[in-house]
Amino acid sequence: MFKNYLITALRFLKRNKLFAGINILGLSLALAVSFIILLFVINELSYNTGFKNKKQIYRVINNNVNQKITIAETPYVLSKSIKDEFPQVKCVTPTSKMEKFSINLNDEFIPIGNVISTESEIFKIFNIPVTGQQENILGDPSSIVLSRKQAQKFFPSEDPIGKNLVAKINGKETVFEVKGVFDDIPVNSTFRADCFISSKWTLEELNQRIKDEDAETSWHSDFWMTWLLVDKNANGDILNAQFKTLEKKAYGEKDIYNFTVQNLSDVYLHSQEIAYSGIKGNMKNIRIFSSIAILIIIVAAFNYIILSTVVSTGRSKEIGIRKTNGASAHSIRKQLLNESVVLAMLVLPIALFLAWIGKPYAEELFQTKLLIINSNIVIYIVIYVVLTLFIGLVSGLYTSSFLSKLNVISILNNSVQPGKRKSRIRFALIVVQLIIFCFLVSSTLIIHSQYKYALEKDPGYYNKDILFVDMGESYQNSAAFKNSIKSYPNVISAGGAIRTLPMLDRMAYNIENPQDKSKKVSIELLAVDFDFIETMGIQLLEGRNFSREFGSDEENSYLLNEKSVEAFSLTDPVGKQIENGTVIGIVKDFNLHSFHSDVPPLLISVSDKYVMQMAVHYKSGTLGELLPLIKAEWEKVAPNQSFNYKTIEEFKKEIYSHEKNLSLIVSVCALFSLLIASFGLFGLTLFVVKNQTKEIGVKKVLGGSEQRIVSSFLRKNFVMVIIASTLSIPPTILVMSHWLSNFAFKINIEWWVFVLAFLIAAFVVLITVFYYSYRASRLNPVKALRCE
Amino acid sequence: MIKLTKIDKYYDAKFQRTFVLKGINLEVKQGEFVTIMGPSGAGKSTILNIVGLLDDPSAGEYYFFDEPAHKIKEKQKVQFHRSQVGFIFQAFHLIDELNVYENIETPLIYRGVKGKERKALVADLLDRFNIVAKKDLFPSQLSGGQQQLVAIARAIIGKPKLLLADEPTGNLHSEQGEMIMKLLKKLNEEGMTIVQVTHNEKYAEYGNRIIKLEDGLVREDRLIEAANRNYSSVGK
Repeated sequence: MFKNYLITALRFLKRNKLFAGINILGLSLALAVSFIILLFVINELSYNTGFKNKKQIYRVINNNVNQKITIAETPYVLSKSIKDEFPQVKCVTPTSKMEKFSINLNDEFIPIGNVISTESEIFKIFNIPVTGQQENILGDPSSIVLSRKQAQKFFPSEDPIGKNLVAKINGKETVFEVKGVFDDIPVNSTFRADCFISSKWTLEELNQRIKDEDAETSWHSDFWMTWLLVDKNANGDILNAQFKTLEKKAYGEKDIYNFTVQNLSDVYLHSQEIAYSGIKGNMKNIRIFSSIAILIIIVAAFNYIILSTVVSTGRSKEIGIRKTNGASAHSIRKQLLNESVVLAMLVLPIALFLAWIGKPYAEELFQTKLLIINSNIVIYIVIYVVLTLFIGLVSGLYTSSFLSKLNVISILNNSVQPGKRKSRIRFALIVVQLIIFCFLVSSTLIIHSQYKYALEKDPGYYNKDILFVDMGESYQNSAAFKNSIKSYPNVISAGGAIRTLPMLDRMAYNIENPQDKSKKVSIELLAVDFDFIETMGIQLLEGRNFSREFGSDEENSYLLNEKSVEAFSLTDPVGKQIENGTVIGIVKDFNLHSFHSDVPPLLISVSDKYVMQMAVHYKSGTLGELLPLIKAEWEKVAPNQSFNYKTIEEFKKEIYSHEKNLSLIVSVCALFSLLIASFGLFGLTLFVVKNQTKEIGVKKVLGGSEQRIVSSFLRKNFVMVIIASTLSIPPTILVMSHWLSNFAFKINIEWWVFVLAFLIAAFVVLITVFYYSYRASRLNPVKALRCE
Repeated sequence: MIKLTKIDKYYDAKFQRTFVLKGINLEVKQGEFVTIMGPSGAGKSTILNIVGLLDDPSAGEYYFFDEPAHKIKEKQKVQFHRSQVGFIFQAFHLIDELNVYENIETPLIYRGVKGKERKALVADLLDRFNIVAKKDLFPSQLSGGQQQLVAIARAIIGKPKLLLADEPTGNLHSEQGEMIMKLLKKLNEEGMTIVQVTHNEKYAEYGNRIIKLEDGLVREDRLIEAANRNYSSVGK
């Protein structure tokens, strides 16, 4: 029976190549787009799922109450205390990533990326299989455990266990003994390692660098991620409560640190607010992208439904015959459902192929590698097949329930008028498609306007002709560098600060309010040198700028912005004492951070010691000739360090690159949705025109003009576009206002956005419809009527 | 076999009821070859459709082998189409996407006949109708007469008790028409009950009874003498 159905379906497609082609192409395009998006989404969601004990693995999060920041790094000594005092913790170990570690291979030191300095229990926590020594493998400081990949690299044809390696660590050469080889950790993990060494090495490095505390015992040396493996029935809340006692013991009554635990499953996607968290994903992106994928799927599914109903009404005769031959409505339904599923499955390989072709372009758009991860392959296959089947089933159910109910006699007497029946539902489906398109287009326009706005809005300091030079390790030489470049005539001025503007991170402190000592005001800090305020063009409202002439500015003078004057509720602020300094001036509020956040209360202090970034204000258009000169000066000041610089324009583009990418991705998806929807419309028009050939012929015989015939087609479709673009406005405003709420400084959603979306949709729809209706209107009526 | 009593068929328009059939009483015995004649719009095809359960009468009763067929449900209708009746149409109505072999096979598939048996039955009929060589051709590659031959083969492959033919020769030229009528007559001689609709007086003579319809009423119902003598006893 199935074979019989399949044969008819395939032969029918063969005879209706155009319809089948449009249908298959539209569906496979849409599936390809959503496959790519889903690949991204699945990969993101699959992070950290590769570990057997994943539900029992936690890491400790460190909330610093004073500085108002949350970090994923904790003191080394914390692990020891947890081990002693937390009964439901089975294993606990600190880990730290070693920088600047290289291994000698053929007399060349090869840098290794992820070198984890830790203790032996790490293998138990993450359940990493190791060959070689099993107990206390990192007990000896000269032990090293290599990943299988690294072992292959350094010992391509021999057993590495027991062999020695010469490595450069903490600036000296040391001999390590390979104690074991571990299976590579899945790539979709936030915990990554190329090799493990003893925690002694990081402790040694810390103690070299920071002299005034012992990294092994200090409760203030936050450089370690602390990983826990807890009992099956332990829960996070109990652990968090236990931390309270521990904090008291370690820090006394002062509530500086606040430890909590975070499950491994939250580490990748729910660490937005956690600093030093390692690799992070973005849940917001996942939501946006999966919604886009769903929208595109809807467009494609509707297309598929529209075209299959249209095409299969052409098959009503066959269905009538089958019924007189003893087919029940049920078997007809089954047949059509089968066919629709078969067609959808035919699309699957094409869609996969298109997705494969499109993948490199998508990688550029997403700005990430879209890996096909082995452990996810089953998920990909299941989701892709289920999605395809789903579309096939839904459209099959719709067409079959419609066709199987048709009356046999009316079919066989040719009195069924295919194009006309169900046309209202088709109309609705097309309108929904167009709504989705208009929504995507106006959203793109809004996102793009916000991006443009963010780049162009005056932040309260010079928005262009500023060059930032990263001082890096040469920050002590900033004054010399500054003076050397100031002498160039094209340099208007130069001044340094601890960060570039807009500032990406924040340094917040609670400061006592001089008016009311019991209240603390949260305020952000910015350290600048004597020239920075002038170089950046930050406006002074009251008082004076920092000046060397007063001699003591570096110790006890501050500038405040308007917001902090407000926060401290100061009247006549200049000259007032705050902390242990004097307010010497008030600057106009400027955007310390990107436009995502509001202007914070700010306290500016002056010092030549903390110049990490040098801002150079140059004469417009002279950057080309100026750069080599500045670079030459840089080489004099910091001969061993590379010259890292960016203009303020480049920097802002970097900051808002997410918005730019998003607008690009949404616009590409809008394009696809329009393309797919117009495929459907094209097919539909073609079909309707074909079925109305007789009607058109009769109209012409009765004296209808070509224009009238064409315009009657256009009018109907124009109405559709008007309805769709109107209906698209509320959801667009809703979603986009939500999106814009990420910004403290944002554009208003303007009407032209919707007009433009309407115009684009109208243009494409009318062009699509025009061609065939025009051709039909030109038909010789004699021919049209004869073909009956 | 077929008994129609007071069958009405009408369509209601706004203020008017249009009758297609009005109080039709008709009885067909097993083994008869009945021809329904009449001008266009007389209701010939409607009677055929009602007898074939493709259409429901507006009023009246229809007994098929003494079963009240006007009462049967949709599901039983499907059974009826599968086992009791075969259809032939003026426009042949073959499935364009299937070749000759597959077209003939279709009813057997719906009857749930097994693959091997299907093959044997179809091969048998192809042989009998002399169209073995054409079995892989598609309807569009056949002449009208050949298409109707295939349609008849398809109609009888399930060994129905009743064959309904709606102007089977209407789209054929005379030579092919003749051939089809001879075939129908032969089938009737083998015991098949046939009801056909035709315009053609000559082809009507192939049957053994002629019913003339006009404006939904039976105007004439006569046996054909010569034929009657030869065949009327078969069904009794």
